[in-house]
Amino acid sequence: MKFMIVDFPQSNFVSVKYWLQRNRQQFSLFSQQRNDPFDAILLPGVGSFDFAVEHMQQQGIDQFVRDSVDEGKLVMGICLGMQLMFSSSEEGEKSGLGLLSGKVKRLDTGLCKVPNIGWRAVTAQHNRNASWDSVLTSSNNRQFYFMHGYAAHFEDLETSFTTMADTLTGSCNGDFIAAFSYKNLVGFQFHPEKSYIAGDTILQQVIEAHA
Amino acid sequence: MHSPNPVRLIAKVSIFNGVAFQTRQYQPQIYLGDPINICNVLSDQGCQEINLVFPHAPPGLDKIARILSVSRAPTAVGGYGTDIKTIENLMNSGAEKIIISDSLWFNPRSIEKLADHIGDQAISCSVDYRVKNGKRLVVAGPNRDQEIGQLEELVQSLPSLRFGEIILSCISSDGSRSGLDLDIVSSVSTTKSLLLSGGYNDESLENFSADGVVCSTAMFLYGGLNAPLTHYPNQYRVNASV
Repeated sequence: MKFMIVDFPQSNFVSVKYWLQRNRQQFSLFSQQRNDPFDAILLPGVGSFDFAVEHMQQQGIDQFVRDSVDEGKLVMGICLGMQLMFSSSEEGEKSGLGLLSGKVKRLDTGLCKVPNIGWRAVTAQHNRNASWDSVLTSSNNRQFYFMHGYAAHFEDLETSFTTMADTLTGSCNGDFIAAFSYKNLVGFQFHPEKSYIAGDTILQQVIEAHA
Repeated sequence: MHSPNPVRLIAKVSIFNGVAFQTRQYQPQIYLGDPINICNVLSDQGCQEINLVFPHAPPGLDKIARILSVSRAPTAVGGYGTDIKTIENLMNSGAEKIIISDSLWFNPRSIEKLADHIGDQAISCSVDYRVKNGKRLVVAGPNRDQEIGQLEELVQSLPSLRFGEIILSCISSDGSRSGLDLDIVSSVSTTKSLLLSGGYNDESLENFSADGVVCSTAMFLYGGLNAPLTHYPNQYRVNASV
């Protein structure tokens, strides 16, 4: 699978690039090779919501992503990249890509410190599609690296998502969506590119599931 | 109340003129070697997180990029200030987090601006202090000898700033294995993750009162002979390989 990495200026897209290289995947960088052919868009993490939205609008990335979704290409978002797929976020005032209707919200305060930073186990929550069986089975109770203060919550999302998506759940003073697959959208709230073998495995499995 | 999450053990790699050293009171003491090799080994061993620290002048971004290219662990970098363009370049070199220190006291507005760009969670604040006549004094400056004020009072002013976690670094006990300054935890009220640094002596972190430890002795001084060898403690490793 060939990825088009959207290299937001404040993101850790270089870590994502190394992750794809380690897993022998091809990629191009949007800022340099936007006309290259690709199979999937990868929206990396790290950054703030409004700044990333502003950059996407200035560079025409928002339309590029929407057009790619319409063409049936896979869109994979990591951390902030996943949150950008939603309509909006409590972190900012600007509108997200709106590929999914729903608002990303700040994690509740409580015993778990916010931002939620560190290695956390995730739980397989909804398994609706056979293609994601292996992802959910092998990731269940496995640890991934998280670094976030905001998250998408299942109850805030559109009905078609809640009835059709495959999901992994994380917890920090309440459950949130740690990863999902819905139509041709895949999101990770954790950082698979920094989660060692667990992250490498999930990449391979997602590629197989969406090939 | 304790956090429900497991304690974080973060490897601190202090780099002077391109070479990693085990420090004692923030000064280079024992030669450890090439930081590229060290970060590679730490990643092979499933190190939870790495903090790359440049106590004096930081190297060029090309050198940092080479170190970060082998670091498969989430990595924070300290010593580059808060200039937005420099920090963006640092993130684009492969860093996940930035460690801020002196700007906390001299230029707090710059941290707000930085948070607007990279997000609160990507900012780690290091409060460096020395113990003097029984008091914990926050220090700043290139030689960490500029006394800013009492730690307990200054830390209370931090929650209004936007950052993801706070590292309380006791310079007096850095590299000494004299024990962490656990008493400070009850004196500091913060809703952010609290990490302790300085003096860790391999004691158990079960029922630990902070959220994690940032240290180097546990990774770089191996066994009874304190051999300079990179060895991340087995019990804190995450699964790095098949």
